[in-house]
Amino acid sequence: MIRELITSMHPKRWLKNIFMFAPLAFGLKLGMPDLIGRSALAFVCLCLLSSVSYLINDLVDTERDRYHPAKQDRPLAAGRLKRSWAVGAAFALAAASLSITFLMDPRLGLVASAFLGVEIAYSLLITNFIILDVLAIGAAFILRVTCGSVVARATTFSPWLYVCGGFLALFLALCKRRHELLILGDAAPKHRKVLAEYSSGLLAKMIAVVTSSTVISYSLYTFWGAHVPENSSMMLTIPFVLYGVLRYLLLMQRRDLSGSPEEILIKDRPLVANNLLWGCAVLAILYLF
Amino acid sequence: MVFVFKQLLITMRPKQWTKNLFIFVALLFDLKLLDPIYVARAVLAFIIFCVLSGGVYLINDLTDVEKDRQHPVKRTRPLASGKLSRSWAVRAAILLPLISVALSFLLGPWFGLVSLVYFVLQLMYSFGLKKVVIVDVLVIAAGFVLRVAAGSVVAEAARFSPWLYVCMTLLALFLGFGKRRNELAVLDTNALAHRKVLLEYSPELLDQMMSLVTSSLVIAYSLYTFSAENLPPNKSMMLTIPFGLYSIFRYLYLVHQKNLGGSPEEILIGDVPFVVSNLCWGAAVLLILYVF
Repeated sequence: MIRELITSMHPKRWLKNIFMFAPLAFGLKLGMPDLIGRSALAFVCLCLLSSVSYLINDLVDTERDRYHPAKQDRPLAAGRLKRSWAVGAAFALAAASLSITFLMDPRLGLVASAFLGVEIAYSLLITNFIILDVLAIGAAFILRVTCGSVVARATTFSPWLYVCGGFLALFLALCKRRHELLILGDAAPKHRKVLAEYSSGLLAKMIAVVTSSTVISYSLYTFWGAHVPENSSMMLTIPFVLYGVLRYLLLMQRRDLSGSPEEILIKDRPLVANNLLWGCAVLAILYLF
Repeated sequence: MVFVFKQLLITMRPKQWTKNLFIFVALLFDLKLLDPIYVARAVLAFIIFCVLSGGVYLINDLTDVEKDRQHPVKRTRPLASGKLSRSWAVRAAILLPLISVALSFLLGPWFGLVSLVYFVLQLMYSFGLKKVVIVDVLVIAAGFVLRVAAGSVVAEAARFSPWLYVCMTLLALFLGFGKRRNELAVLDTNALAHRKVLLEYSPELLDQMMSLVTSSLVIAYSLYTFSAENLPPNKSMMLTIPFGLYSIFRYLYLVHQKNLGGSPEEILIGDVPFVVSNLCWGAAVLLILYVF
């Protein structure tokens, strides 16, 4: 039963919460053990909170999931997990992680509650509205970064981190929709209702907007952001971001790649290598120079 | 007499005057919305601009009278149908711009200059520039920038962010290209033959131009929200970015998927999600600028 419960909590999607470490890394605080400990605890809370929303989503959609080819195998839809267990777990997890965040810092508790609210609202309602659905994903992303910023006790507010990160989240979400539309074609609305309203052309335009916004806001960060070295060496990391964004765009155009964009993001070797190099370059420039 | 005034007013296209509301932008963002003197000056400037743009339409209709008579829709216009006599129209077309330009110089030499440039530019637009590809949309954008500049001059705005000029220009270009794209998609070949400039654009070209100005607009607005001078230091203006983003994407959606966008004025009041987003945006901006 516990294993089924964990499956229903979708641990694979927890990866997104890693972005809450961004303020710690970009605020030059990776060398402070107490802040790392606090961030790790907050990270666990965020993971559990997002799982609460997944549990609620699966509980509400149980009937519909039974007829969905890919989702009928989910523990709740297949009947391997009792509803009462799932409900109990959702409440317990929400109560536990929210109280931990409030104990750590009341402001963190507020941001975490907002995060849970957005996640639940997204999976129950907003996911069906065109444009709002991707904006909600962007909002959840910003709230993750805000959580990280609160636990890292960030003193300087870096707007770039939020703007660039927000556009990046929109970029990923829009690419995901475009990819689904490309692979599923006419069957796409069955998988995700809102896809009936999007068209490939519209998504291409929106992607063009957020792609350039991401690249430009990152470029501006590299020479105007807080904590970047005086000699502007951070600009050396722009090519990695450019390559990563363009490579991802390319992958999203290919029909032969199956699996979710999240999987592609961690399976494509050139992209992974590029992201690692980018990470190393950023850390080296921020902490060594 | 009343009839003549009514026909004159129709010829001056009061519906188009809503664009002159952009004069109040500087007042709003320079935190002078509660200062009665500046509000009065801005209202006066607004009226002057309405009369000026009305004068341009009068002149335009006077020169196009013969052509309009052949046009299925335009033949009902007051001048083409003969409801408004030429002599009245000519008198109004000379007097109204003269009076309003003179008034504008009384309001301030810089404002007078901006009004004069605006008037000349609008005339140039209707007598030729509207037939030149790309320049047509650029002139429309220039019209918006001049309105904002006029507002900034009458409000004696001290801290009016240059970003807002950039945003306004890009917004006007965005609306202009969106309009062209819609006309290209909706009009039939017969109507297109009347507007040769449209045939020089292609949907792909317009899409590319729209992508370009949309991204620039989104970035310029984001930059404004945290790098402009007279904003709250806690960067709370950044909270308005989502509303702007939603409105832009919604507009793209309407132009792209619903084939709307032909008359921005109608979307501005017709599409409920768009209106709600704009109202929320406006309320958020007012709250952040004036309350915090």
